[in-house]
Amino acid sequence: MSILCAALMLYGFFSGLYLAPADYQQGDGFRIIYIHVPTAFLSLAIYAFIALNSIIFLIWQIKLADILAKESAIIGALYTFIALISGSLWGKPMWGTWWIWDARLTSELILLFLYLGYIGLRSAIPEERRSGKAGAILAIVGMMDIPIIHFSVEWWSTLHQGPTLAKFAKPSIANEMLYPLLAMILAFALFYVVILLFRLRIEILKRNFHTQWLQQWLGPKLRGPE
Amino acid sequence: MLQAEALGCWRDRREIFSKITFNLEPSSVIMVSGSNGSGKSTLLKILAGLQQATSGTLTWQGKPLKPLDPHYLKQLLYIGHKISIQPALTPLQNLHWLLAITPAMPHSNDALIEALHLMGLQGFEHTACERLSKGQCQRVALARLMLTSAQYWIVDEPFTALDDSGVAILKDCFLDHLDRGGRLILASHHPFETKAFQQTHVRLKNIC
Amino acid sequence: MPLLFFVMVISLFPMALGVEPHLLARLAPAIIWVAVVLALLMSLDNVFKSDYQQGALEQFVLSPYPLSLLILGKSIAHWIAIGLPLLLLAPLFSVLLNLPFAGVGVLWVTLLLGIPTLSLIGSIGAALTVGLQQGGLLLAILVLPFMVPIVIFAASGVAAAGNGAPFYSELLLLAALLLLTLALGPVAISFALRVSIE
Repeated sequence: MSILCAALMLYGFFSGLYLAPADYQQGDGFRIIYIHVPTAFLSLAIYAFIALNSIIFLIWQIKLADILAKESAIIGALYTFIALISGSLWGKPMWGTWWIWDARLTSELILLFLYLGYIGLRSAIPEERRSGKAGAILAIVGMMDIPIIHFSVEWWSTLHQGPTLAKFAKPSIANEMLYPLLAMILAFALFYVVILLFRLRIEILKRNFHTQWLQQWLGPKLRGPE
Repeated sequence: MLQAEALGCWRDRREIFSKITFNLEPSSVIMVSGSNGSGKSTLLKILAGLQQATSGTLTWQGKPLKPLDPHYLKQLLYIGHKISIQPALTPLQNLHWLLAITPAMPHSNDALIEALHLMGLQGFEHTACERLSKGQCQRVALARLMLTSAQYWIVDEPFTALDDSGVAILKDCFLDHLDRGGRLILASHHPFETKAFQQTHVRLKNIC
Repeated sequence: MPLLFFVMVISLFPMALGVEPHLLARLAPAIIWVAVVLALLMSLDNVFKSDYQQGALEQFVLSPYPLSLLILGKSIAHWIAIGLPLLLLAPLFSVLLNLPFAGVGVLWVTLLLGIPTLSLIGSIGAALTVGLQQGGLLLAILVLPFMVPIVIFAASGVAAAGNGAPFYSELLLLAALLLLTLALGPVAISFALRVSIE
């Protein structure tokens, strides 16, 4: 356990140092993509990760997969939220309005609802095993539904607005701008992994609080409440 | 034959029971007893397949019992704490739908009425269950016992809410079932002693 | 009860929007579909609740018959009790809301295809939340995102028909979604119910 802890700490330092130099950019409006794109991309990737872990948990009953899914959800929701806010901030100078019912933003909003629903369901079920299984079913159904939702939203937005805005995205990107973006995506991904590992450790400790090995390990360090 | 080997159950980091071992042979009874909250209902649910044990194994006919194995379900009758009586339906209608989805002997409407009569419910066959007393609803639920084709009966606290005559009828019903080679798993505070049949006691203690 | 709710929601809109016929006609598909979703959500909260409380769900699960078939039967019963009356009422309301005549038929078809899909999707949520406190609110939060595609396709199909534009692709998409949920919905619901009664 202490080895795992040390490894975690090293990992945390590593990614923290990695993240900092990538973050020194400032100024012009477009630079917000360094926040927006990684969070938006990861918000979806994390949901897929949750669904994958849910499948693993349902089939092989591996508790670790359940904990991974549960602890990922809150970070995923946070990233989704950041993506929405940054998208909206980006929209102000670009489109002249804080919010536009653009297909991607709308999908992102629905993704946030999916995350919040998942978190809500998990926290509403007091019992761990049941909460895990119910959440897993929801996440898997959600994963199957995301492409449908995304498709329907695209359909809907092309119906309601001219194609001008849809065409807006993706000017070819210069290498000097691309590399920091890739670095930021990696940094955000690592940040997610580090936070996830921290939360994972806490959750494992919580769930195994009653076990003997943990009591022995904690014994000298814990005082007061038992 | 149903065998339980070192069954244990944890819930929310708390051990409910552990090391439950028994064999359930034809014409025999497992009596599960224990104080409130000792896990009687949980054990019965595990044996029915509604929940899974956290440790130990259940063996049925020499093979590990898969949860909700349809072959096992065809042999099983489970009457839990919630007796599954729809208040809006009459006793007769309740029996009809319950027997339709659980293993039952071929039965006619008259057979159902007769079973209700044996349970002491003459004159109430067509009254909605929400107007019956708790004990009467319990009797409706237990009337299923007379019409089921299941070999394995798992019955949770059937004697509560029954009066003396109800208890007597129910005990006769259990004895008939055992006589035919049936098996019974019973959780109860009420004593049920049979000299004629093999009886195993499982006593659950509160583990704090 | 959900039907009464449906009627009241629909009649609330003209009161809030004013009675200008063109405006109402343009909004009618949206209004009717939002009201349908809300009415279904209300009814879905109760699909499994009493069965759970009385223990009937345990008997369903322990039945030797496949649970998903029993659930399909229950969904059909739910459709007869809620979906069918909504189908019968909706054309009436489309007239009240000045929906162009061409739109009424299409609205009817979208309701025919969409309501079973919505109620199956909603039943997954209901099965997951049955037995929880405040299950009703949670249910709405869980299933509303999943209902988005159906509402989009249905409302845009009706609007297209009202404008004289082609609408078949929307109907086909709705039909595809219905078939998909018919195939997978009962299985997901039965998984969810098994978890919920533990």
